[in-house]
Amino acid sequence: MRTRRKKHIKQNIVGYTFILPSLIGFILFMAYPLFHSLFLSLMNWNMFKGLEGSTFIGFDNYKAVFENEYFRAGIMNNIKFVIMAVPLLLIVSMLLATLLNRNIWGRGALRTMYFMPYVATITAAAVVFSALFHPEFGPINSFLRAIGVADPPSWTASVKWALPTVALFWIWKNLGYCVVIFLAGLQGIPKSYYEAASIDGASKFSQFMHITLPLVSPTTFFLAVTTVIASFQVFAEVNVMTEGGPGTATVTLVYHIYETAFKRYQMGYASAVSWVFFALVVVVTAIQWMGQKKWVKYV
Amino acid sequence: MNTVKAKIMRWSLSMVLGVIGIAMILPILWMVSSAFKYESDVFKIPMQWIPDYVNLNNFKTAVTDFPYFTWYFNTFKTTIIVVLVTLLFSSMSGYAFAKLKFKGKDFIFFLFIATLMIPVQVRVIPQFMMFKSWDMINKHWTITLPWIYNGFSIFLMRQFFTSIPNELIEAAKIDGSNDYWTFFKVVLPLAKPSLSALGILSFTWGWNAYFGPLIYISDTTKQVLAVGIASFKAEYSNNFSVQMAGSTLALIPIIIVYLIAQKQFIEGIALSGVKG
Repeated sequence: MRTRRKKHIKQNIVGYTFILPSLIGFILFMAYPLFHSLFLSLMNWNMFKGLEGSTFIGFDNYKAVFENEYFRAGIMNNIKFVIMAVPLLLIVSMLLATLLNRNIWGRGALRTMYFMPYVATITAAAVVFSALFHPEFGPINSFLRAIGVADPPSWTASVKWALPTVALFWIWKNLGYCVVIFLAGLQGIPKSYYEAASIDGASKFSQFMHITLPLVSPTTFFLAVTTVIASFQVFAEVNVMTEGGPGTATVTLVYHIYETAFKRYQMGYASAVSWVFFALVVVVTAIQWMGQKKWVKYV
Repeated sequence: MNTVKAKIMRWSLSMVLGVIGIAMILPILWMVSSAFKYESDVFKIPMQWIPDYVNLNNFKTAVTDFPYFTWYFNTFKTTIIVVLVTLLFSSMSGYAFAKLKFKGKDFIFFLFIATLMIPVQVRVIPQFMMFKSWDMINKHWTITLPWIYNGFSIFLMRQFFTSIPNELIEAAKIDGSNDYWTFFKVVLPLAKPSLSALGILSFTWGWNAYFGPLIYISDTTKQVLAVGIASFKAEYSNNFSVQMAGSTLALIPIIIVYLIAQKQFIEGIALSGVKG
């Protein structure tokens, strides 16, 4: 009896020594900051005024958040961005992966080409895109003028086009990643399904619709959830390419948090925005989670 | 007849995918080409992919007007620490969650998984205040220390370790090896494919870190490449060839690492995606 208890204690000690570093990290850099941020969101606190300047104001920050035009623009831009970027990214990458999964030449080289943007340093790539899409002398507009577009869009300088331009950059950056994940999913589909379907005379298109699409749906679901979360957090792209402008055209919630917290030092207000942002991510993820029953097929 | 048709199909499909592939890397090729141009040639029409006059001064300007090599060094240093910390601590935790028995294991694992949904931005303000009170602003600790906890890679390693047969661990124990020794001498060597995948993944995380360094580091000589390179756009707003030279230099190491480790890299991403 005693030895069994001793063994039990020893097991616990071993287990906890293995997870100890992560546990310390979890408490220091996740649990504690999370609670602290919730607390901060109820305080009026400008960092420049020091701790003395802080007062408890309850939900006033949250009220101020919803009255702020930058916040409203941010939430709208986040939603527009997701709608513009995620479906397009998923559809294109799934089609590319399906084609890449067939018997073609230079598959390895192609995968490398598609994947290169994902590896590239994000700010360097954003600098390059800004130059490519330069309204006056960027190669994209030179090309458009050459093929007869008299008045090409001014991209990041235009209220209408700035957000789509950032979305385009984001899609380019993440396409290779999604292609690779889809390829992994496609390779899990047994070849015999396709063989049976061709014997029955099913066309390639109907094979895609009835075998590929349903069987790859768990991968699609995984990517839909993670890319939506990632697209909500778009920041480096905005900061380098547009700094939220022109006007409020590319302000996102994360950019708004960054500006209010680290340029204006309104830590309480920014914490409130970050909690609203968090709630938004949770709601969107929960909706996706509940919706999966309708279309995700687990074999 | 059928084989001819199949061949044509294969050929045209490869062509189409090849054209899209080239379009994907076109911005990168344009960047490299422009880095070698004189400013007046960058936006010249028709576009020259190989300039008539090669200008190497852009690179010289990039590395002399900015503390470029310091940024390189800082980025390498922090990236390597991020990789080592991630590999060691995530594999230890992953192993514990997969194979060890201890009190509260399921609950802690649930907490860890739940954090995967929490955006970094929610905890960044208190974290900033914490680093400030520890006097760690402008120190590389701010970039590397938070990586001692990484829910995603713990989950990844746990998935891998569950596939290792228990008999192997039992056998090592019967031979008299203690738990720690078993982990480092028996289990970890088996995890090499997963570790290399995670290693390469965390290399890109470390190399491309932007939000943290932007907030915690204001001292230019302490800065990393991802943030430093963005200042090119501001400083050389009308000199695109210098911007491109700076961007090219930032891409070289990560692309070399990628080309060397390409196979594991893509498999690592695929593995993490399917199981993560």
